[in-house]
Amino acid sequence: MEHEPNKAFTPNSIEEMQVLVRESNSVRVLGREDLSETLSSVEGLGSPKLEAPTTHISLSAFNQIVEYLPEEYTITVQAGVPAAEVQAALAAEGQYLPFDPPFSAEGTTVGAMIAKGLSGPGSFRYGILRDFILGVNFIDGIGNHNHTGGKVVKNAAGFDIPKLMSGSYGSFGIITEASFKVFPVAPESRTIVFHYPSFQEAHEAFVSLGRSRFTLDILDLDSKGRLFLKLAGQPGSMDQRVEAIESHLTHQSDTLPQECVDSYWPESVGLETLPQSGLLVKIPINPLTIFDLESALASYSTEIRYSIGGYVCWLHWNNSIEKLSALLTQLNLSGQVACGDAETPLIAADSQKSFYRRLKSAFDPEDKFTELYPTALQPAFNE
Amino acid sequence: MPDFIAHLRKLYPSSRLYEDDARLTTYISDGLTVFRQKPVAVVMPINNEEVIETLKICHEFQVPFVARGSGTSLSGGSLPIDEGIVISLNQLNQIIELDPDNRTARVQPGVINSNISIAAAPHGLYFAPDPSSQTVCTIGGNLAFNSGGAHCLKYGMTSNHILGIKVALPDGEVVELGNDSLENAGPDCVGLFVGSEGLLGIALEIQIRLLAIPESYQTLLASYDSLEAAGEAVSVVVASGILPGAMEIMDKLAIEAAEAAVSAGYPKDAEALLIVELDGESAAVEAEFVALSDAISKTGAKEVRIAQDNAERMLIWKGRKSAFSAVGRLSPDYIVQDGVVPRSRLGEALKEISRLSSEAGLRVANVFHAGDGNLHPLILFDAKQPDGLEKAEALAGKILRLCLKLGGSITGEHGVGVEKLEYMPEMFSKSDLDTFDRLRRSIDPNEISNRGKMLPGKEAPALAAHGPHPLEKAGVISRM
Repeated sequence: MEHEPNKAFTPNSIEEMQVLVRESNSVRVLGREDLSETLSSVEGLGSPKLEAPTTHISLSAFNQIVEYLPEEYTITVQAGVPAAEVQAALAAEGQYLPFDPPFSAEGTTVGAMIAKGLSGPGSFRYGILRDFILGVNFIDGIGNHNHTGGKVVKNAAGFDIPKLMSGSYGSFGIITEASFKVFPVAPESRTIVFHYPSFQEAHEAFVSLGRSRFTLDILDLDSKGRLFLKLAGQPGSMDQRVEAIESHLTHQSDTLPQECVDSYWPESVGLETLPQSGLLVKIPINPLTIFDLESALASYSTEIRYSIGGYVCWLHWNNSIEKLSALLTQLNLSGQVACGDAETPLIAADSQKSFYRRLKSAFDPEDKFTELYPTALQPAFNE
Repeated sequence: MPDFIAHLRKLYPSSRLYEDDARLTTYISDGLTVFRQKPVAVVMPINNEEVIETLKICHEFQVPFVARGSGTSLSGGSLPIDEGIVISLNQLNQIIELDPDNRTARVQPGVINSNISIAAAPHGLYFAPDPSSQTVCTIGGNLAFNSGGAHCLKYGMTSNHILGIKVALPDGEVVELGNDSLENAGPDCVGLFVGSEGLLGIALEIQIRLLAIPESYQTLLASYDSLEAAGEAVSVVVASGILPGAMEIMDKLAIEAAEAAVSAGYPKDAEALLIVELDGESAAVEAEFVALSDAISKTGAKEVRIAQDNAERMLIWKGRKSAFSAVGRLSPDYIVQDGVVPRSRLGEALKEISRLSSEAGLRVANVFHAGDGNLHPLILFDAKQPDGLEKAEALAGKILRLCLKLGGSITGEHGVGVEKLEYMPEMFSKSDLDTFDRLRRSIDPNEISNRGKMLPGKEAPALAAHGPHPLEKAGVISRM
């Protein structure tokens, strides 16, 4: 097959995609062929820049839900399916993706969702994306179509490559299909907000709730001293559970009206709206480090939200990436660009570099795919 | 080899370097005792530096090694390697740090699983993965084989609770994977390392996630007239939309064994038992229990019992968790498999296992994690009988192939080890296995880290369907 560089291809079969990979020196995936302006801001941004000569592959033809077995709590979908479509199919059967994929309203696809490894606030209850990915099919840099993991909820055979794909930014290959474990949606839920006069008091309450016996679906904190909680369960228990939490915190909550809830949580990850400028950065963190980060960011004009019970910080950053890198390095933290224009999505995240390089040589020996740790000696994009 | 041993002697005192037959014999097998192999030596490091230096020596002399904790692997995962050494990690058994506010702990690989929960309990926290052997198995082994347990459906396997790992790669290089957060920046290398069966190196320090001890439990025991009915009850519970912490099934043979061993008070006239446990906030559990009771009432249960207090709950679990060892009372020998089937095909799988059992003339006790479709058929046999073990292995093989035919997996939580090597090419294509091999060699080009486990094709030109293990055929290992 002959093709011109810098042209987006839309293969209709695995075989066509394999040929494209084998015959290209550099390959990047575009989430959907007919990207609207909004979609491209989600799909493309946060990924390394695309530079010539590069073969761009659209997965728009890989748009099928392959198998959904509600009784098994599993779903298998092609990588080009929008996450929102998966969520809608699950919702029709009273189920959901417990890792609460962010940006699905903006059109992010399943492939992009895995490649970026992003999870939403609802992952506090049961775990993040990597905890629910069961199987992945992908085309590696040699052009082989690999089937890894499985479709059942429990499987310990072979290397757990599906998990490795989470957050890999397509670095090891092109994901073509994935299987997920899903859970039933609780019939009733409630979202409540606690307002504190200071961030310190809110943080103390946040840490206390995190290690408490309350089974919360969401536990978030923002810089304004507000705690956001979502409870879910069987009918008839909500009032009692809210009272127990208020008693534990010796503080009264406000209940978010149900009509606001559906749109509130998905938007909260993007800090109300996706940034029109600057970067949206995911910073893995833990509950006690929050205070250090909050202090370090105090002199910057930023929007911050601490989510997943204090294990992630979402930061809207309008300053230089070098400044953020220095700040995170000082705190022994790392970051990942979720949205925005960046040379590489990883910030101050070198600890896995040596291990990554070894894996990269196995999956992509000719460096056709994204390089997460570009160096001067090793051009990132095979120019 | 003498030069290699000389290097080890410089590193270890004789009290922590075993070379004599008497002491090496202790290490010739793991939980899967049908396979045996004497190592060249056993070393017992007491710090990270000794582990790293040992790996460097192994790398220099290209001597294979297997890291081992308590040796409870049921798949032969910690079986010694021909002409290789065992690195015993039992003395690296410290909980380095327990951080209640961050809900994490940093532990060494030799820490016993249940000791983590014991240490975390005063802080209202626990370590969720609960394999049946949790009072003796180590976290390093749990990590290497991505161990499961009764509560995997809701809480996931070991992998879901490991946040970061300090790893000594097979050439002695030390890398940090993950961090002390639930989230990560970049690929989930921790997820890859967990369950890699020791092929990618040795975990020196492990950052784990702790969960809050549930405020309340409701444990229900329902008895049924048939195994199929119990299996169908699982589907009814799942369809009700509640998410139990655990759903376990035991058949009549397993019930009898558990009763004889620990007097758990199980109904003796039951053909099958279903254990369902709810956990969480008291108010939430109470509301869920209403829904669960309603679901169970539609399943035709003969008898339903509810644990009235923690003592009754623990007794129910004691019976379940002792089932494996209890089966030893019924038969001089047994082997256990852990294939997985789609949950909705449990009834079909159990019926076929029953038919295969009759056909082979061997009794099979069934104990399994019904919520996950993870079967644990215990095949009873007498190794002293001619072809006793071969017949049992042949039956085990048929059960694994049944799992694959029904769309499942050859292993849910025990791993491939040496036991299931033969079945890997039936679950994965040659191309997939080649990719696994490339991955392994990118980390360990000399293939010295737990050589001969998980990946087939290295040790035998042709894999027989039944009978002696390929390694046994090759004269590499022997069996009891």
